[in-house]
Amino acid sequence: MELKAIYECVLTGERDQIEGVIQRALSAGCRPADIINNALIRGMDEVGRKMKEGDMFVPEVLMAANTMKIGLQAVKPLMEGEETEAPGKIAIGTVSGDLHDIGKNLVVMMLEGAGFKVIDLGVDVSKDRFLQVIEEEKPDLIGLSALLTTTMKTMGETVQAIGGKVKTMIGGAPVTEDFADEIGASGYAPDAVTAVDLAKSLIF
Amino acid sequence: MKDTVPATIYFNILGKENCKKIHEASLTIMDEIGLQIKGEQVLQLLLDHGARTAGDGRVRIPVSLVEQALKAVPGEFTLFSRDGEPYVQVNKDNTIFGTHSDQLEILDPFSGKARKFLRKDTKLMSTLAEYLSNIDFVLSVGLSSDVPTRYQTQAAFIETVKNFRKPINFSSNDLQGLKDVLEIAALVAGGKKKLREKPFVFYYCEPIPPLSHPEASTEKLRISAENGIPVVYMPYCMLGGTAPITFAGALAQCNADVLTGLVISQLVHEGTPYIYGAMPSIMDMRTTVGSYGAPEFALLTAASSELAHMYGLPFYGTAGTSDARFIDEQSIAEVTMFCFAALLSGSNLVHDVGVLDHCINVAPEMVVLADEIIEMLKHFVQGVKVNNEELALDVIKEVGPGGHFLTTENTASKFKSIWYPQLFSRKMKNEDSSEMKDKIHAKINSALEHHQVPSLAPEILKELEKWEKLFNN
Ligand code: B12
Repeated sequence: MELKAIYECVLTGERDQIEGVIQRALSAGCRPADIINNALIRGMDEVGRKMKEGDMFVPEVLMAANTMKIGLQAVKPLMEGEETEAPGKIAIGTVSGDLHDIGKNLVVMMLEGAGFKVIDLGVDVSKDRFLQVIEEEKPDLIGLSALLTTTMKTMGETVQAIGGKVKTMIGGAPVTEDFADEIGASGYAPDAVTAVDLAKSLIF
Repeated sequence: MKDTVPATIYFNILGKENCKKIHEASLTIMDEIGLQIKGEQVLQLLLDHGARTAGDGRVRIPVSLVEQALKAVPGEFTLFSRDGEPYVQVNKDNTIFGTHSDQLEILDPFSGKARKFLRKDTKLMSTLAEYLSNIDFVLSVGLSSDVPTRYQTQAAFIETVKNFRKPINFSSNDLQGLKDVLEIAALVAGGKKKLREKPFVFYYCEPIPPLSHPEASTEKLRISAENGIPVVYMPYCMLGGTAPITFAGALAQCNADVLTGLVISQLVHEGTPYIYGAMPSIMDMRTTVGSYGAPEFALLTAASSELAHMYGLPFYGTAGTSDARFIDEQSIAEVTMFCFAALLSGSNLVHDVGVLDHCINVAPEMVVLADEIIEMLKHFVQGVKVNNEELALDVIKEVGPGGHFLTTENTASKFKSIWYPQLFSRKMKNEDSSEMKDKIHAKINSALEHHQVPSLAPEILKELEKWEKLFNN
C-alpha cells in the first residue's frame, strides 16, 4: 500500500510529496531496501517504459527522475548495514572539440534518476581529462557524447586511450552501433532512456 | 542580376508594437542578464567600447553599442557570381532560396536509400542547384564521409565552386577551414581584394544558445568581418531545451544572440555586411528531436524575419525542410508549409531547401520538387493587381453575358502569366498511377547530362589541384 504510493509519486513526479510519502512508509514499517528496489526503482522503470512508448514527455520524465533522486536521498542514510546493490558511478562528457550538450544533459539526468551517481564533465572534454577522472574518481562506467564527424574521431581516440581501464558507452546523433564496435566501445545507446538500460547492463 | 520574387503580399506575425517589445526584452537580456562571450580579442574589443564584465563571468552589452551597430551595418549589399557578375541584391525585400551542396547523408535519388554523403555527390547537388531556377545559392558545409576530417570543409568548397556559378554560402568545421576557404575563394575571384569587392561567397557561423558565444564562434565572426566577407550569424535554439518554451521569450533570447553577433561584427569592422539569421525551433518532448518540420518553427522563423526587417536587415531564413527521412506525405507537407511561410514573411536568403530527417540528410529529389513548389507559391504571393487594364471592363463588355473569353485578344496576350507546372499533373485524363517520381528523375538526369557548368580557368584549376592533392586518395 505505502510502496504503491511511493511508486505513484515517482510516476507523477511529485517532488514535494515524495519525502512525506516515504516517511509514512517507514513509520508503517517498510524496509528501506524495499522502498528503493520495489518502489522508487520500479517507478523509474515504468517511467522509462512509458517514455519509450511515447506516453510520457521529457519534462514529465525529468520531474519523475528528480523525484526519484529526492526519494533516494531520503532513504539512503537509513541503509547502513543492509545489503544493497551499489548503484554505480558514471562519469560522462561531450568529447573534445564538441560543444553539443543538450543530449548529454538529458542522459545525465536520466541516469541520475535511475539512481546512478553521475559526474558530469561538461563539454569539450579532453582525453586527458577523462583519464584523470578515471584515476581520481574510479567510476564504473564512462559515457561519451559526440555529434560531429570530426569529434567522433576524437571519441575513438579517447575510447582507445581508456582501453580496458573501465567500460565505455557512447552516443550522439551521428554515432551508431557499428561505430561503437569499430572503436571498441562497450556499448551504444540511441537515446537517454536506452542509455539507462545500457548502463545497467554494463555495470551489473 | 537575378529577378527575385515579385511578392506583393506579406503577413505580419508580430506587428510593430510587439516587435518593439521583443527588441526591448532582448536589450534587457544583453544589458542586465548578460551573456557568455569568449575569445580574448573580441572580448577586449567589447570591453573597450563599453561592455562590462562582473564576477559572474558574464558580459553585459549596453544599449548604446547595439544602436551604434545598427547604424553602422549596411541594409543592402550585392552578392556576385563566381565569374564576378552581380548576381543578387541582398536586402530586406528580395527573396531567394538555397540548398546544400553537401550533408551528412544523401537520400540517393537512384537507389531511394539514405546513405553517407560522398564527395562525388557534391557535384550532383551543385549541378542541380545551378540548373534549377528557384535555387540561387548553396550551403557548402564539409561533411563528405570519404574525405579526411581535416579537409572536409576545403574539399566541399572546391568541389562546389567547380560546379556552381551562383553565390556560395559556406560554413567550416574550424577556423583553419574558414581561413583556407577564404584563400581558395580569393584564388577563384582573382585576389583577396577582388573577393572583398565582389564577394561570391558568404559565411555561416553560430552561437550556442542560450546566450553563449564561445571562442570558436566569435573568432569566426571576427575573421569574416576582417575580410569583409558577408556573414550570417544564426542561433539554432530549441524551445524547452535551449530556449524558453514560450514563443515571445524564445524570440527575445534568440534576438539577443543575433544582436550580440551584430555588435561584434560591427566593432571588428564597421560596415561589414551582416545577415540576421534565426532558427527558433521546438524540442519534441516525446523524442528529444530538435524539429525541422514543426509549425511553431515555421511560425517563429517568420516572426524572426519581421524582427530582422524592423532593423532594416536581410533575413537568413529556413524552408523546404522536414523531420521525415524520405519523400513522403509528411515531408512534402512540411516542405510546402515552410516555403509558403518563408515567402509570406519575406525571408531573404532562405536556406536548407531539401534537408530532411531533422537535418541529417539532403534529398536531391526534394530539391527538384521544392523548386516546383516555390514556383507555384510565387504565383500566389504575386497578389492581385487592380487597375483599368486588369479590371478589363472593355473585354467583359465585348464578350457580354453568355459568351466566352477563349478568343479575345486579352486572353491571347496574357494567358501565359498564369502558371503552368512542369511536374504537377493537370491531364484531362490522369494516368492510372503517379508519374511524379519519373518526372523528377528525368529532371535530375537532364540536369546532369545537359547542364555542364563551364569549367574554371586552367590557371585556377591548377592552383586548386594543389589543394586537392592534400586530400585526394
Ligand atoms: C541543436 C544542434 C546544434 C546546437 C547545439 C546546442 C547545444 N547546446 O547542444 C548548435 C546550434 C549550437 C549547433 C552547433 C553546431 N552544429 Co549542430 N546540430 C544540432 C541539431 C539540429 C540537433 C542536435 C540536438 O541537440 N538534438 C537534440 C538532442 C536531445 O539529441 P542528441 O544530441 O542526439 O542526444 C540524444 C541521443 O543522441 C543520445 N545521446 C547523446 N549523447 C549521448 C551520450 C551517451 C553516452 C549516450 C549513451 C547517448 C547519448 O541521447 C540523447 C537524448 O535522447 C543537429 C541535427 C540532428 N538532427 O542531430 C545538428 C548537428 C549535430 N550539428 C552539426 C554541425 C555541423 C554543427 C556545427 C559544426 C555547425 C557549424 N558549422 O558551425 C556547430 C558545431 C559546434 C561545436 N563545436 O560543437 C551537424 C553534425 C554533422 C557531423 N556529424 O559532423 C548536425 C548533424 C547537423 C547537420 N547535418 O549539419 N548544433
